Amino acid sequence: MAEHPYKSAPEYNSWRRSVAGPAAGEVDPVVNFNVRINHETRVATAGSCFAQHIARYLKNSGYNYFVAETGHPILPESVRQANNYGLFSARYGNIYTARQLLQLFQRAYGQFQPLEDCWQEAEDVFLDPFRPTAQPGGFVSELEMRLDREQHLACVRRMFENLDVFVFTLGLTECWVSRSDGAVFPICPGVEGGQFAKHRHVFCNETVDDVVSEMSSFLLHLARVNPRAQIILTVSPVPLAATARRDQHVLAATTYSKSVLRVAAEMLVARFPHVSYFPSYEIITGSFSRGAYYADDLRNVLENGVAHVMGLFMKHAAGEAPEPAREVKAEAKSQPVAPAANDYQELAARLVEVECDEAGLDPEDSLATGKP
Amino acid sequence: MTRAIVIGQSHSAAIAEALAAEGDLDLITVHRLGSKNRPFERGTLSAEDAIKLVQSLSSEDAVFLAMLGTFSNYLGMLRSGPDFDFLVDQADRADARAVDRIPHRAMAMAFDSNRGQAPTIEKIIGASKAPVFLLSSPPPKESNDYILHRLLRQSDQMKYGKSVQDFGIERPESRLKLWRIETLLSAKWARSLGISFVQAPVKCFNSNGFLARKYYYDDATHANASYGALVVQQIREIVQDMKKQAAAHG
Repeated sequence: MAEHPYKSAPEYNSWRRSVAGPAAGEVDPVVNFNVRINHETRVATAGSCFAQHIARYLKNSGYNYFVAETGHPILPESVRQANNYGLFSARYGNIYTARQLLQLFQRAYGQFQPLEDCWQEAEDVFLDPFRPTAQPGGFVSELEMRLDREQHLACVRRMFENLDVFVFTLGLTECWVSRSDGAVFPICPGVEGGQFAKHRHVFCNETVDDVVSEMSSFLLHLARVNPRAQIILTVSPVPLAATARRDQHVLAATTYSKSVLRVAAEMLVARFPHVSYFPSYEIITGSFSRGAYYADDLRNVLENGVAHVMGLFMKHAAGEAPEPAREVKAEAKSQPVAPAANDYQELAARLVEVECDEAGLDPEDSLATGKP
Repeated sequence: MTRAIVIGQSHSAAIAEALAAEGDLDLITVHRLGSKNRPFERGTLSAEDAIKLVQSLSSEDAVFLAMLGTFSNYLGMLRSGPDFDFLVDQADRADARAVDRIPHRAMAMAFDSNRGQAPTIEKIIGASKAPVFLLSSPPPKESNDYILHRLLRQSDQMKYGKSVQDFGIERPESRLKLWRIETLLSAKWARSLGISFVQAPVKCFNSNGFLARKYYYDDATHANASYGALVVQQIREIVQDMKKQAAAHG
């Protein structure tokens, strides 16, 4: 029989042997992934909602998930979580598009100041248009919103300058942009705040060239402030909730969007030696799982899918063996993080309680005036 | 005849002391609730007893609750981290010296999710035919030296190997803001329950908005009988108003 290139190909080159053959949970499409993390590596995350899973998993696995905007420790841990501190490495909310990431960097370093930069929803409800859901209930005044944004962007700078590995999940190509200055909003104005106006807002569906150009620009900016940063790109497997395109079905629009992002990621890996691609998209969407990693809404990813992705991430990036009881462990990890001990608060509470017990409890004091 | 019942925790002691000093124990009576640490302290009421007590009142009586206002002390007594600031309300000014900004609604959430006495208060309101009033806690003390000295008198100060001095006392301006937001939120919460909130007596403040020195009780957080006398005066005025209104309505 004649020799040909496929004959000596490794197992992972064969669909039958590496996708159709193994049990779904054993499929491992990670090849040539060269990023290594250990417990000291500062890993920062940003991106679409799937990136939240990566952040949560890293945090709960004891790795150095780098949170630059932690929220002040006077806030109990549960309150910080409820106010989106620690959801990502800074309180920017979901960053769906490459353009949004680039503009975040530019805003953080004073290179871009959008004109439409405050949404007032009610007398005492103000939103930051570039992270409208970051503060539940909104800010009480424009001043507070601007002060918080100033602090937030300082944290973003600190994150970019100090991270070792930046995991960015590309989510969408569809976005809404200000006609006046090109500022891109994470969500269409009018959906989570603000007012949609045709004369101010325009729909944009990015192309491969757009994404590659914006991501390249971001990567060059980042390299200037942090030359050692390594980048891991992923593509979100979460389909579009809706498309703004009238000429396409949402399924076709999703395929376009994810295809563009996947191609762009490939081109960026080829162009930049410090950029790697991790195939979480393929792990979740691959036909080997027969859709089992999706929830009933066929959009959200179930915990066993996240566990498959993160198990392989840990195996290849951290050298950890995938754990057999992934699913069970994943469930445990989906529980809220136990509140961290606020040691100052515990001591203060004890001191106050002692004072409260003692206040007015001298023999001559007034309790005797109580007339039950 | 209208009776006024004060039910409360440690802050009610100043009121009781003021009444004892005046020798006027007929119109206003004070009933202290047992604390978490001393639930069955002699002379204190259980929450169940307090509910029975208010059930015995008529609509012409009045119930005053001195039961909230401690969480700002938990949060703001000792330093928790870098200097922080938040806006108490829309009109508030930002503190330029603060390192960390905390959004108002995040701060408010911390208080709203730690209103430990809320169930008892709601039960008391539900059981009472008499109108119920929620009394403000006294404003905080301004002097960090005074607070530190009082806290250091307590013998058991170590926590995780750190003492009160290791943590340090929180900045007075932050302590005041925490009390102000707790008061604001308590008043809002009281309104949501259909009861009135009684602000701290105007005379008790110094020019910076803290508790005036002459109203200090000899500890870090409480006010004294002179402060209690000011609250007693507020209670008397409210009761008088109730009587006038009752008379006007025949």
